[in-house]
Amino acid sequence: MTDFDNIDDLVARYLRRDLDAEQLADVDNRRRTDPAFAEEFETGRLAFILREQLIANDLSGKMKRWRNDAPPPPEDFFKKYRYWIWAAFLLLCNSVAVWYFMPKTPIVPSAAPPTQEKAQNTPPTGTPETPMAGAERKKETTPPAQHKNNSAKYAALATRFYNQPDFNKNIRGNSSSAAGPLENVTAAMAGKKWNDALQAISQLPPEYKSDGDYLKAHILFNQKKYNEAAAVFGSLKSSVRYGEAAQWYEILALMPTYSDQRQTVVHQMLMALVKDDGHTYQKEAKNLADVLR
Amino acid sequence: MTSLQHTTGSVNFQQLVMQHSLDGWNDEEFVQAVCSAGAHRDAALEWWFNDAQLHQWVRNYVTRYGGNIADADDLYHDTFIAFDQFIRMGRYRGEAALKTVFCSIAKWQWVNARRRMAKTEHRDEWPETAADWPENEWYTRERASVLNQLLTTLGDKCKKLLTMYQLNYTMKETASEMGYASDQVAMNETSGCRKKLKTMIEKSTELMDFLNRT
Repeated sequence: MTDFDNIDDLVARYLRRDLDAEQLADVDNRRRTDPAFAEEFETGRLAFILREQLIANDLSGKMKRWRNDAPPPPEDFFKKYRYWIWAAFLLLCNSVAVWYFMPKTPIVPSAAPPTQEKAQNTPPTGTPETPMAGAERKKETTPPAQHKNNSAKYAALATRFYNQPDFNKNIRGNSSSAAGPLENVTAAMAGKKWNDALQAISQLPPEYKSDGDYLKAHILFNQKKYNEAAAVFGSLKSSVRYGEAAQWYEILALMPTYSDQRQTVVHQMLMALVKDDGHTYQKEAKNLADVLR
Repeated sequence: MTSLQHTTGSVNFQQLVMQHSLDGWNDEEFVQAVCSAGAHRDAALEWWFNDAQLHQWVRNYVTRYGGNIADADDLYHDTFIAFDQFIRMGRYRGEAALKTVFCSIAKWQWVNARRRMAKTEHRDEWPETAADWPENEWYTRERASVLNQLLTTLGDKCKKLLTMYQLNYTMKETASEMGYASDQVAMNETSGCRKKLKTMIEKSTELMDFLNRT
């Protein structure tokens, strides 16, 4: 028979599973067969539960004290500052929108042709610097004013590489019998009457949508609305007729956003074109990449 | 009831807190400290209680599953009590990290609380780490409230003595805490309180019914 100093000790060890299998079986057996023991054991079990409650109460009191002593846990940063983060985000969007719709100042392209850029990689001696020659000397930190300056330089570079299609010719090809509706557009573009051209595009039949978009993108580029032009060229990248041209002109339209960090999307797009053997604009892309290098 | 303060003894409580606030306890040391009596236990528990990351975890968990910050703080409190009991009852076997066990208990407590509020029934999702602990031994506020009603008649001295008894204080430690002249006095006083408690239980058929029901 299991022998303990008192029933409390036995109950505690029973509840704490501190008895071996034989002792456990013995206690269970006695609880079943000996009503007096079972009653005493049950009272001991309830006393144990009440003493545990005393410990819980003691601990509660201590927790109250510890809580008062300790600083409160930090609130989740994003939860706490979510309104500030939203406000900052909206402010940023607003700034971008203002910048985007702000009238662009005319950019005077550099007089030096692309082929001469390599020769100018030697340190300059008072001559106007090319965009990349300037970029190579840039330091890691670029102040806002310098960013604007860079943007203008890369826009000038894009303008130099931009070969305007001959809009007097039928852009659908001489064999096309449906050139008629585009004539008004190309004629206006040849005369650099951009608003007239846009008006004519808006009147094109639906089957001329991709032609109209392609011409519209060129108009936007000529109006120096580079971001809008890039968006339209970008939408034509999978066009059978205009796809490859659109890829090249999209890069040119994105050039103002090109930075001297080589990780930009524009740089990656340009490199993809450089590696694309057989691309209609591979040669132009290589020339541009050489200037930027 | 005034909580035990451990103002006496050879171990300096503040030193322990300072030392372990810097170094922390590993799981084994922590379990040993919690199962011991006196300053080590309190220092370890205070260190654990002040774990801001754990507190934040409980807050995130509760707010994710339908509660608010006040619910989370209640849950942290209740989990802490259950966690202490879990360790002292020898339920922790070292298979998982103590923090995992704590989170597991918190989840279980929360599911239990939600179930009691009849909002949900997720028994399948109950965490396994603590799954072998009988449900009627879990800390709940309803249960605590009933038990405390009975304990109010016990008196502060007996509450203190029985708390120390349950925490396995030696009679020497008890005498020291209570300011008794000898271990024998402490033993007699403790014994008297244990008898008083049992008498109270035997007289309270209501409590017997409640505890047998839950």
